[in-house]
Amino acid sequence: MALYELRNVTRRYGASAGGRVALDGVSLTLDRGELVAILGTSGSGKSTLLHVLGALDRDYTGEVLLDGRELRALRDDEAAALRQTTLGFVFQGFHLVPSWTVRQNVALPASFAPSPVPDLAARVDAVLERVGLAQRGDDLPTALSGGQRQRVAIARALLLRAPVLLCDEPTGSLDHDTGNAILALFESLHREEGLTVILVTHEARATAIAHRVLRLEDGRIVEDRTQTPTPPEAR
Amino acid sequence: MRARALADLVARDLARSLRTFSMATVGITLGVATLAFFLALSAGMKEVVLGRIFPLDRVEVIPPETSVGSVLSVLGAGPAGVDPAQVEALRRVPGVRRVLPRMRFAFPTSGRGGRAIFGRDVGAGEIPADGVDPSLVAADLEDPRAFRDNDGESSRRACNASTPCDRGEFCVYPQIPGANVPPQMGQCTLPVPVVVSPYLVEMFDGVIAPSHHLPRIGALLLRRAEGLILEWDLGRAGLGGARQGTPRRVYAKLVGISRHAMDLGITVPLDVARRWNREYAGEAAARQFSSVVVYLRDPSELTQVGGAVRAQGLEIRTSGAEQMGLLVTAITVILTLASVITVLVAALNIAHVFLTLIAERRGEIGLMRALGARQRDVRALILGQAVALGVIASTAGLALARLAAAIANHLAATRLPPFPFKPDVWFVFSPSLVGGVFAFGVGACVLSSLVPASRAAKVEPAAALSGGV
Repeated sequence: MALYELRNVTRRYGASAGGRVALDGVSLTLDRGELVAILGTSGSGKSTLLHVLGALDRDYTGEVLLDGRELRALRDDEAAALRQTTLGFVFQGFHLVPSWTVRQNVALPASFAPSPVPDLAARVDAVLERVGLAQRGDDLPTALSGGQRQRVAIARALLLRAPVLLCDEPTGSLDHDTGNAILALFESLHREEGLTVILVTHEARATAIAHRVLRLEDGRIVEDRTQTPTPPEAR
Repeated sequence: MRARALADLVARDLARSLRTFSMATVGITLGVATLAFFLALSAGMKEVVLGRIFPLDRVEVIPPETSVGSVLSVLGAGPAGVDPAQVEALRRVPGVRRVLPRMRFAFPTSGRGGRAIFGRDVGAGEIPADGVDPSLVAADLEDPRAFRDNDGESSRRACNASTPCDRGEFCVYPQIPGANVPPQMGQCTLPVPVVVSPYLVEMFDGVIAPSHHLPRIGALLLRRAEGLILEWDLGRAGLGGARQGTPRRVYAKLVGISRHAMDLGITVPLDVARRWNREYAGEAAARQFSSVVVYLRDPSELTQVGGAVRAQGLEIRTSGAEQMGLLVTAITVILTLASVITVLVAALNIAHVFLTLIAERRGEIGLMRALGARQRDVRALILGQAVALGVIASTAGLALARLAAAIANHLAATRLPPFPFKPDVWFVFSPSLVGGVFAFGVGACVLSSLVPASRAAKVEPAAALSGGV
């Protein structure tokens, strides 16, 4: 069974029939273990698609099945549980609490778990080490560079070992080299830990790590191709 | 969300916005403080006014003031009163705990005494007095047996100035000695035991003692003045004499202070009052009671008991208790209302602060939702912060009220001049008052956060996450 199945998904903003269409009859299938880049210009609907895939936006028509479950049919607590156990999010703006330490930010998802997360402190340290911030756990986000902040956000997404990583413009606020380092991190997480990575971006360079590239225009998929990722030294 | 995780997030969130929330909770703290302060003051006033000055658990039942009996009494046909049958009927009224018949002296008296305390005798041209059943004052006395009709226990030995009585007895002559009274022999007689009311002591200390430059006797009288001897002239007073009988001087001994004693006068054992009324006012005055004090099981039963009293052809004397109670209640309501408005305005301010913070942290709320928070988790987080603020503000407010009350008590004790019924403690912080005010403060905070919590819970995560931190 595919990880995701989208059938004729339409998302319209505004109640009337004349409202802006962000997704226009999107149908696609995403498999487990894929590293997919969704490419599009601003307003093409790529972020909306990511929110729909993350069950953050369930006000669509059509069908979105995740592991065979229709997302729109889930109750609020079921959708929350799904986001907690299955999906990890990384955003362009990092969304860190500036007055909390790196450790506290990374541990935040554990606050919403129905039962205490075993060995939480050790797990926080492990994910910080995985993203290369083992020594920065007691720092405040304000003391970190943009790339480091994004690594904190990635560590937070990894904490509860969600198998799917949904990334919304993760390099959008970063310079070229830092962005490349973050992309390399995603690639390594995909390769070494088998994570499914779905990457939404407007930067063509970000597609270099993907095995599959989808291109959106005006809410429609206009291109769906597979590719061989560009080797790091050639990016 | 687990309680511990919630508490942790609440604490961290409050710490983040410490200054904002501190300003917002000042209003709640002050409101709770003034509310507790005024309610405690009101409770203290009620305790004094309704507990000591106008007790609400008792009413005085009297004969109707305009009745055939009263008219006949004025015309000389004997005093209007409550007869023993009516007393028995009152005992059977539902809601009545106890009845206390009083027999007022139907003749004038005067007296003097107090040398042991004041260094000189203090006289009173008119001394009202009455009699009560000794069992009713027994509980107030150190030696309950001291308050009894001891007429039969006197030696009655003949005495005069040259043949004094033994210690403990006094020579009582048939007539009050004077220039026109020939030398006479008296009988050695024990002094009549009397009790006075704490109200009389308060009035003396607050009004009489200052104007006559006499020492206050409140505490002193309570501890040392029992045994005070009073020369008591029966049938003779400043405004005239008794209609019958020969005026004579007896001796009275103060045996204690009782809440059941006459407010402004002297109370003797009932049999003494009956005997002297018979001697100086006639048989009718010795048969009827001047009033009956009816003790209620509960003040709320006053209406029911009042109906039964009127059915007996009797009336309830207006003591002023109801009016005073209403006055205290009205003042309490006004002050409480002002405090409640303060708290509610402060609560509105807190609501505004919450709404502002939620608007500022929409992205954060969206992130929490993305990380697995349910709508009710977000709601619980806001409500948890409100509860924490309420607990902190209410605790601080109550502490402030206790501090202000302690200062006010100290100032009242040291700066206010003495007056009747001046309380030692002006504030009563009962557990129910403290609990109620605390709950109100917390409740106001929670109430103020309901709308913000609901709005926060409804934040659309996808829309909220469009921004960033």
